Amino acid sequence: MMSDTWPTEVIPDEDSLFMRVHRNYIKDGQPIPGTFRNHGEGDQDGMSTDWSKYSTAEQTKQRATNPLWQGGVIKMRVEKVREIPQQKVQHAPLDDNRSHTNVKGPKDTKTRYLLMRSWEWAIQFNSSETA
Amino acid sequence: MPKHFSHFATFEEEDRSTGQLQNCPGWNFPLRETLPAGFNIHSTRATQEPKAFVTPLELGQLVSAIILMREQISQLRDDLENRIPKKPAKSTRTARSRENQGTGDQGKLPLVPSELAIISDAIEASRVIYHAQQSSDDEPGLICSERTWRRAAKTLMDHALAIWEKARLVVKVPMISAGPDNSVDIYWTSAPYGLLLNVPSDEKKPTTYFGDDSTNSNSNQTSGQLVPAKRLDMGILMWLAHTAA
Repeated sequence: MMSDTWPTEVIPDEDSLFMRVHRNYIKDGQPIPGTFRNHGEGDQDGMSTDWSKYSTAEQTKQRATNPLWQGGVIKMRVEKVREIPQQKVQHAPLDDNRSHTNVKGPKDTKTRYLLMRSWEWAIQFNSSETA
Repeated sequence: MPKHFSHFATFEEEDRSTGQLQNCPGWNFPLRETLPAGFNIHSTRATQEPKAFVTPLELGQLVSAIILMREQISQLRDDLENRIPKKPAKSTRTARSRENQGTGDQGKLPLVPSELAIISDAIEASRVIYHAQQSSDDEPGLICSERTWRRAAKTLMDHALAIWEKARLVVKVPMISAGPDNSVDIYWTSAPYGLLLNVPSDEKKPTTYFGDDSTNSNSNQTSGQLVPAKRLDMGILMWLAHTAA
């Protein structure tokens, strides 16, 4: 559900999006293509990310609700995401997270492939943490 | 008739004046002038003691010499074998493929050449995507069925094998992972080329793929569908050949 606290803004192309990647979705030091998927319903349907204007990579990591959560944080340039057919970057602030942004559009094979081409680590997952 | 002709006389009477056997007119045989040593030919019965050529002492020396020669030959053979460079092992088909476990032909892996063992190993290691067990404090990961995994493994191996047989190229080891809706993703990246192949859980639906050249993504890309009835796809084959080592 959209926030009443924060206004919805237009996100410029030059900004970035942060996204948590759980360790179950990391293989050989990189996210698996299945990382890029939609969550939620209605207004909040889409791939959940945080806008760099109101969040750092570390804050994105700390937003994991499970205290035992383990994984990394990736970063994607908004312009790159918008270049992918049918993908729309929409600011969707939540009461407790002004940075929340959805990437809407189907996550088919082509989209997931192109998203695999557009990320970089903001906080790399260290697999030794799991030991 | 001389004594040594007596045996012949029991079979064929020879006309001494013409040198022909009576039953074989026209066959001219030379007259025998010497006795065969030890045994009369055409007979198993000894007619006289064989002549001894060597003494027991000489025989012992001969046996010793033969044993010594055999040892020397054996040593020479070993030396030669060590000097000849070893030929690389011939390409052989390995028994890495796993037997189908009652899932029909779709899940059956072909026998593969040893050069493709890295692909077989990657497939084998990817079994975890349907074996994965998560603890309760974990975020649930993507999973797929063993049946879907087998179809994905076969699709991968069929294409890798076709490229090997046609071009003697070994495709790069892909990342094999569970995808959305219990599907399986097979992802290659070999700068600047890449390819993502998605095998759906529904056997009636086609496998979809997309790949590009990151240096020229808009004009140099491939995409398509591999329908269940088809084993190989030319678009996948051509793109995978780019990623081959």
